[in-house]
Amino acid sequence: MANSYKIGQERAADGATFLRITGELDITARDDLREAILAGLGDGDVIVDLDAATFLDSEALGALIDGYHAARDRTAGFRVVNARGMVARVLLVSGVLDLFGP
Amino acid sequence: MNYLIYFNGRRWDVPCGLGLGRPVIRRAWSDQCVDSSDLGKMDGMALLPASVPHSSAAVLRSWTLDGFQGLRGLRAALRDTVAETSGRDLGDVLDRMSVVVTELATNALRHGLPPTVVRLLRVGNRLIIDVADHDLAAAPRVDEDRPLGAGGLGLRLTRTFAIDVGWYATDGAKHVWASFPS
Repeated sequence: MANSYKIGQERAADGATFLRITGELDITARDDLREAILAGLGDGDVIVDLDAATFLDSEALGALIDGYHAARDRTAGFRVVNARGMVARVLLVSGVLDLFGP
Repeated sequence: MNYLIYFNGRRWDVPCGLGLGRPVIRRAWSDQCVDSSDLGKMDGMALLPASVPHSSAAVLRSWTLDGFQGLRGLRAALRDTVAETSGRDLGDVLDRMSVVVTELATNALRHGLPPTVVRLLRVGNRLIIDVADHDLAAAPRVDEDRPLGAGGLGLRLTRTFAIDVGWYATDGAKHVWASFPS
């Protein structure tokens, strides 16, 4: 069965990784998302772009939180950007919207 | 059949037929409030008031899940069913229901025995998502390999996005329900 999500990866010149998310992030996305973030943090900053994400639950949010903590451990940058609609609201209610940067 | 109900911080054994529309008190319950040893002492479920389903609830649709891969289809089917049955513009209710059904079903799939049965009910002017699993012996627990607080986040989202949230136990099944405007 096809995934409900896609994680597109782009590398910037300074080594930062942009993870462009499409689709619905739930527990089925959690491990892939976490791995992609951790892999990116190995090379530099990671920016998770949720512009095309249509769904986010607490499980997938857990992967983002793991990324936040891992980035702090490595003193790398980690941001979550462009959350909209219900995805933004989930981040807000969970109290992490400010944590993840503008 | 008798149900356990917790209201105003005390435990009552009441016969079935008590309505869902009762005001529920949202506050932390002490472990003493949980009667059955297997009904979630250690986790967020103990923070939900237990209340019984309404005897006149109409089941609009029922889904059976056997794995996490079914969650996306469940969200889509729930949206379609609610959109069909509701006559008015629901605003963000569909979005809120999508999150809550995912949170409750994920929890049931993780901690309960299959099948996980999700039902959409109508009770008065409320739509109810009712998720049942069939493992009373293994209450929802905080997984030790999960990041601290991840389980609590799901409960917080559910309680924020739904009007009321509660649980009840029947023979062989534990149900968690959440209500929404219709």
